[in-house]
Amino acid sequence: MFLQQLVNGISVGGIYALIATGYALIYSLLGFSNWAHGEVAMFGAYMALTLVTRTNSPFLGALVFGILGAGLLSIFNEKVAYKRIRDHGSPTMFLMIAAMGISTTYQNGAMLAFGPKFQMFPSMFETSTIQLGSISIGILDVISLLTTIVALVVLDLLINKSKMGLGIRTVASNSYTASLMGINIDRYFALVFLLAGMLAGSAGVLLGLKYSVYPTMGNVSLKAFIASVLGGLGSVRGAIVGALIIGILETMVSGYLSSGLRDLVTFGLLIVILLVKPSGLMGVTIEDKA
Amino acid sequence: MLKKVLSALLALSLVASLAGCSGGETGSTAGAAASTAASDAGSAAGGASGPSGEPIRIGYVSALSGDSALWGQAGLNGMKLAVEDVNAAGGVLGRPIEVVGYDGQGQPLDSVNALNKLIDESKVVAVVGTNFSSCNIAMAPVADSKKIPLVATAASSPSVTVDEQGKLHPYSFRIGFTDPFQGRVLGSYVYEKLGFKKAAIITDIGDNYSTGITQYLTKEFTAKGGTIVAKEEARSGDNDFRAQLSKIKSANPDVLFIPWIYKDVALITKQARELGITCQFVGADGWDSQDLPKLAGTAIDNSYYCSRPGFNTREAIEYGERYKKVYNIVPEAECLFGYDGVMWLVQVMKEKNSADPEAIRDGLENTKDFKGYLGTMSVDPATHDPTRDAAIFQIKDGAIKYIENYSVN
Amino acid sequence: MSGYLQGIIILVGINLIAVLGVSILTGFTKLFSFGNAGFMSIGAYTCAILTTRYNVPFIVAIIAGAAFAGLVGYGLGSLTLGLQGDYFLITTLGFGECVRVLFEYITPVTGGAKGFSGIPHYTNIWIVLISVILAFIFAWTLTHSKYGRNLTAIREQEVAAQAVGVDTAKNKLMAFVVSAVYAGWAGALYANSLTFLEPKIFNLAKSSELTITTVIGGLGSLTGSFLGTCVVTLLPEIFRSLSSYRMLLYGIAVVVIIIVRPSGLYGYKEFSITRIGKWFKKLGKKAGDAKRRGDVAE
Repeated sequence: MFLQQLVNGISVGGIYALIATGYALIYSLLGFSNWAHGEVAMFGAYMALTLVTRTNSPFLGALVFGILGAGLLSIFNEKVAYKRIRDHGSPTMFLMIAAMGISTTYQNGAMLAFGPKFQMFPSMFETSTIQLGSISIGILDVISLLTTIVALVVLDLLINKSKMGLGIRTVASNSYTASLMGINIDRYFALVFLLAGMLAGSAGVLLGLKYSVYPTMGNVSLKAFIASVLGGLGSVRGAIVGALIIGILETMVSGYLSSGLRDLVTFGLLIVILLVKPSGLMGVTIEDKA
Repeated sequence: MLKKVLSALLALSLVASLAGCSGGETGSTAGAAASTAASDAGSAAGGASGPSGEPIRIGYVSALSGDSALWGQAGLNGMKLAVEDVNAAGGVLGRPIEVVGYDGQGQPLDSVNALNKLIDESKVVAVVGTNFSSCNIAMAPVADSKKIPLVATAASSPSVTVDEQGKLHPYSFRIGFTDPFQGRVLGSYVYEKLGFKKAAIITDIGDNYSTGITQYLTKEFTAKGGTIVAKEEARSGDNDFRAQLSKIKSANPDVLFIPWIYKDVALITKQARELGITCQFVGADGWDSQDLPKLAGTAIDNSYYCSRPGFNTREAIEYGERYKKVYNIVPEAECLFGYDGVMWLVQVMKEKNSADPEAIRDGLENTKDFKGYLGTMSVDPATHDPTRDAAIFQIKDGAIKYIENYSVN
Repeated sequence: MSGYLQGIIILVGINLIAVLGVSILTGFTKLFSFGNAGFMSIGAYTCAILTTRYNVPFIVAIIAGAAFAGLVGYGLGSLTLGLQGDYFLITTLGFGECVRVLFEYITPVTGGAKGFSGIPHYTNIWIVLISVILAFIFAWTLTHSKYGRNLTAIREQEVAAQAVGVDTAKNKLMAFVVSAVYAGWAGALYANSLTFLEPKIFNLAKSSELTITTVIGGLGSLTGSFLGTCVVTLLPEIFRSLSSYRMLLYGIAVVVIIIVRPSGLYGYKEFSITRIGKWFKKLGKKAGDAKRRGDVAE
């Protein structure tokens, strides 16, 4: 049973990772936690679902459509709200409050636009399972894990190996100096929002495929946010590690302790880890900017 | 540009507050979304032979926004159809009736505010709602102190009508089942009729409906001689239940009770089958949605649940067709509650020949054999709980099949 | 006065007390907490249990609820106040969720998810009004005392404050405990006003509502908090008849206010009659001001 629970945990953690990296990306540049991130994922899921139900598109088409839709919404948020707030010179916490407002707006907007009903993707894959001894692994889990890995590897290459990534890292390390050096930082902000949004979109489509699509499905991103804090804010790799830890921890607590106490243990452990290692597992200690 | 947005917003809020005022003063059905059918009925009532005079107002509180708005709106839609019928048949006491619906978001505090607003500003004679026990438990003392009858729809906790100390809330009534009743029906049916002795339960620990049914179901099932081999907890919105289900699988039960709302039921049953759990699934009236077989697919085939007769009598089927035609959406069970709620109040007002809240209360308390779309019910004056038959259903090949009526004492 | 109107005033009052607590913490130290609903929950359940099961007089029960919340706040604050910005925020968030999950779990004490009902209806409009006045006077005295200036110094330049001998750790802890006490106080009034409690009333959404209210009212302004509470509590009330559009408009309103009035309705100033005249004069060069103030705060 231990192995089965481990498989369950990795499959849950994989999806958290896709969302958590989006938090980490935006935090590394702007120093704020984008609480509307989960709603971007939700939007991506609805986009994909709409395409599939209207046109019978195959999985890959739906995935791409959902990713693009979410990416564009993410840029829209940046242009309409976050950029203006930054231009006012408001403290970064205001961005977070605005993000909460955006999150409420989208959740309720989705209820009006798509209805509050829970919807599921038409079954695109056999819901069969691979049997490895006593462990069962769902085909969907394998597909979603593969998608997650591909997305995260591409992201890692983009950031660490490409010229564009160099720009992002420059802006992340010091946006003010970067702007003095003649770098168009707004472009990089938009770019990062696009990347984060696309990751959220892919997470949304996978979530919708594995579970269901509904207006408040973005709430799952709270766990992903915790994962990104656990891994160290602003660290993309830390976010992935944090997400896997949270996913595995949750299933292990449910499996061996008590499912009722699951969240208590998760949050309790989070507090303990932060007390021992105040900047998260892989976070760089940021100097006091206040 | 932003200033314009702001002023537009202010203008909107102004319009909104005006709408709120007019809702209070003239009693027109509140809310843009809620105005269509009832106002049609209102204008139809202006005819020569129709009812005339000040309309009798019936309030409605439920979640009209948020993620359970689906049921809240269905209840309101059902009430509006009932209003249409009553007014077309001459109204009550020669006066037309009217529904005023306010959003309580499914939150206790919000619902209390909505109830106060209905009673103080819209001057309703009775209120229908909600489908949340937590909201009704909070609203019951308000209804008592203001002496306005409150008819809960699907709120199922015993505390809705009788408080913790065992004292009756004189102004609280309900249309649906109680948790103890459903728990007993399920425990008894599964043990006696289906013959299963080894059961597992998965409970939504954050939900009083699920924990309530679990409690009474466990009591009944073990009292009969069955054993509970696994008892797992999770929360709605968790989405992934495989950790709990893996544990249940290793306990190897004959039957798995899933007293949840249908959305989570779809996920739980699918994931259970994926993990190789082959046992029988059994659920309660939270399963009662045409969407469940669609969402859960083959995973839920052959599962049983208990609920009200629902859309299975000839009258209810016809009503469902009409509902579909008027609103162009799939009818949810809550629209039966809304319709029956209004009809029950109307019958009582006609019997008592009065629209006085006090008289309505007395009438509700002594109801005998009220026939609605949900079946025939009588009220127990000691608890205000309705006595009615439960129906057992089975999901077969993507369709819901009515099996039989079943009752326990 | 109609019961509905009284209910709304009581609601505004209760929310205001909780918001004042957040305002003291966030407005004067710039520490954001997303766990104050947890403190409300502790205060509410303490007061509910004392008044329902042990027939303790209401005033004593309120004090006990507030004190217990403060005690827990002291413990949590001593552990976590050393953390920076978002890390502190997430520990408070985790704390709030822990309280909710724990209260759902310890059914014999709290009634669990089935809720805690039958609480005597003691909270009336007068008790709320007196509470609000006391809470306001105390907050005003605190923020205009030496402590208040220390807190402001910490907000503007923590290192500099430390350098001139302000015990930043002690001052932050005090602000945190006060905010917990206020939340517990509000929770106690809430319990005996609604007469029913369930753990999920005090969820993350409630915590963020308190913080949103503080920011909308304006950081570092107590009168702003009052205004913010009125706006945030009354907006959904005004929109009630719009049913499904209600929360959508609320969300949009929050975003628009943050964008249009970046320092909140009354950021870093208090409402006064003489200022109104000046305010009208200043209206023209507002944008430039906001920009400068933002730079200082950053």
